[in-house]
Amino acid sequence: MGYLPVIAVRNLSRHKLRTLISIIAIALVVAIVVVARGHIVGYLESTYDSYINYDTGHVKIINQEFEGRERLMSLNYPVAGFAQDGISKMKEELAEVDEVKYILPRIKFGGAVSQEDELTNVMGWGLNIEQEIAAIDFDQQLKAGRMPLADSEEIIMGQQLLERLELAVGEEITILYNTAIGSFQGSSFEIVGALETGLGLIDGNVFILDLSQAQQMLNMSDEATELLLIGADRNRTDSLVMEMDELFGSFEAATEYSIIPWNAPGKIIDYFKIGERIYNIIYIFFILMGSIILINTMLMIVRDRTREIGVMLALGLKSREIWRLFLLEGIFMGIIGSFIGIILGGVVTKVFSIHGIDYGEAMEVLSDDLLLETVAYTDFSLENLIFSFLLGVVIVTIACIIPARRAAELEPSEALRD
Amino acid sequence: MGLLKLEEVEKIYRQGEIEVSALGGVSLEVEQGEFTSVAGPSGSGKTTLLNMVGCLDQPTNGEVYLEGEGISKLDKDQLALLRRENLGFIFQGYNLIPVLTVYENIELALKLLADRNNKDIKEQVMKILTAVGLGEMADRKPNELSGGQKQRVAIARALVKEPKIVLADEPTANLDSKTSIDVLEVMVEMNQKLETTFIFSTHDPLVMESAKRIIKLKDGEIIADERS
Repeated sequence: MGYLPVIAVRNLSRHKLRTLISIIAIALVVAIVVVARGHIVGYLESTYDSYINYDTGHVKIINQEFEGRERLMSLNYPVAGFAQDGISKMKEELAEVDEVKYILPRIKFGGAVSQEDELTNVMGWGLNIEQEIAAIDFDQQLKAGRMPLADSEEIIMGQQLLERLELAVGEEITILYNTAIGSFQGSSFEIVGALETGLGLIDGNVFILDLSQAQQMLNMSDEATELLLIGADRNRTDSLVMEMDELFGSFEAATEYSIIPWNAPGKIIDYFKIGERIYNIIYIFFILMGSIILINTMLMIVRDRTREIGVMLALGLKSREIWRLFLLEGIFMGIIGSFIGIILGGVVTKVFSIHGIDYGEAMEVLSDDLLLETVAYTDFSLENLIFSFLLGVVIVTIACIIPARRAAELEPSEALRD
Repeated sequence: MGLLKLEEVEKIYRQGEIEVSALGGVSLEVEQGEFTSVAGPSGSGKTTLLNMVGCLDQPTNGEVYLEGEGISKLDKDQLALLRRENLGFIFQGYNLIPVLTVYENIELALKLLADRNNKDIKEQVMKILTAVGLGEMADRKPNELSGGQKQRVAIARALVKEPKIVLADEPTANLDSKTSIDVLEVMVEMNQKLETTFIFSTHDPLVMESAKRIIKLKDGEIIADERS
């Protein structure tokens, strides 16, 4: 080890309290960054998963006329094949594409449940149960009962919706709805399961039935309101979109469809991504704020050691060696503080990654349209710990440049006069 | 030209609008091996003169030549290298680096020089420590030493790299008279053995008595230059 690191390390023990306060300040801000980032990353990841699983897939194919009218749940603009020859043939073509792993046709429609004088709005999702289980482990969200069988008059319902309707698994329910040809009808179903996804939109509003059953009762033979594509990796969505553009471009009538990736600009996920970037900047400012204590400590050290700096300059140390000496001292404090910070933050993050933070009450004020989980689980990952550690060390190092420069700029004769 | 030459050296400090002349046109020459004392009352310019000679500061006007080379055009790094290789300093307040041991304080002066290996460094440090009578105290920290011992370490640190000139600013000011004599004897011995040039600034009659040349300053000007 050279003489500068030796002096820098030993200098840390000269004013133990001062050094300790600086290290504690860095440790606290780094710990807060670990927890905050773990919380944000964990929540965003689960939100991305929720949107991909229940709303967008990696890519969503819908009728262009349907885009913008999704909230109305109109059945008049279905996905009905490349040449209006049905989605079965379309699925065969899509299955040929390398990037496509699962194809999930869905019908989302509005309905109502009449109980005595009260009418409760509900949302029906017709799903290919078998494929949904294979693609997104849909059955893992069951709280009670089982998934509906194919071509059966069985449904599962969100647990909150069941409670609102004062119904239970095993009971029957009649749901009123409009078909694609505009006729108003009602069908009775047996409730075979209760669904609990942690998402207010689904748990409080949705019932699920088999896709073929939905197609039959809604007069939508071999049609769906949307087609979700799941690839091997959400980060490869761009290439999936390119392949879709190529495939859809080869069918003349296919221009009526929109191909929408999960992270399309202007969609809510895109705003989350912007939020994620803003948070990364906030972390930097946060550590900079913690570094102010270190900068103050270092400036005090420079003032206290002005004469010593003069002696070193007289011995022949160059200005940049003085600069390096003080920078090293700050870096060592940054390394120790950041290390303690990631241990503290790591412990807290681990606890919240197991038990979660319940935002149930706070979420009640948010729109039901958002697929936001009420319990947030923090992301405990080595990547987060390494990122926070490196961010701490880098920002502290940058912050130390100010006092280190002040030390290096001292003139030897002036420093010795101190 | 001698080892050191000052030619019409002026130093003016600016304090806001006010200009204070610390040295006013000083010229002198110092030869190799001289044991020179710069004397004068406070504010006469002794420390400023030593700063000019030690390349710690640069003159406002005039030139300082070290072995015939002017220093006024050198940048900060070049001046640092010049100090590193050619000059040793002894300060009134000892100014040892408190986190380093006696051995390491002296070693640092050698480690700054590029052409030394660890074995040579150790030999040189122990040799000079023995010469100043502190061979047994190599592992002590400065705060475990008396004032006289600290000043001996400072002398050893200044001399270990065998500089051309050692500059000492009031080296005995903080010492009692017995310790001052001890320290002075060490410096005289080193001057005789190594032919190192010593330049002191001092009020101390003891130091002035030992000097072979006394330069007297008043108001930034040389009023006497006597050799014994």
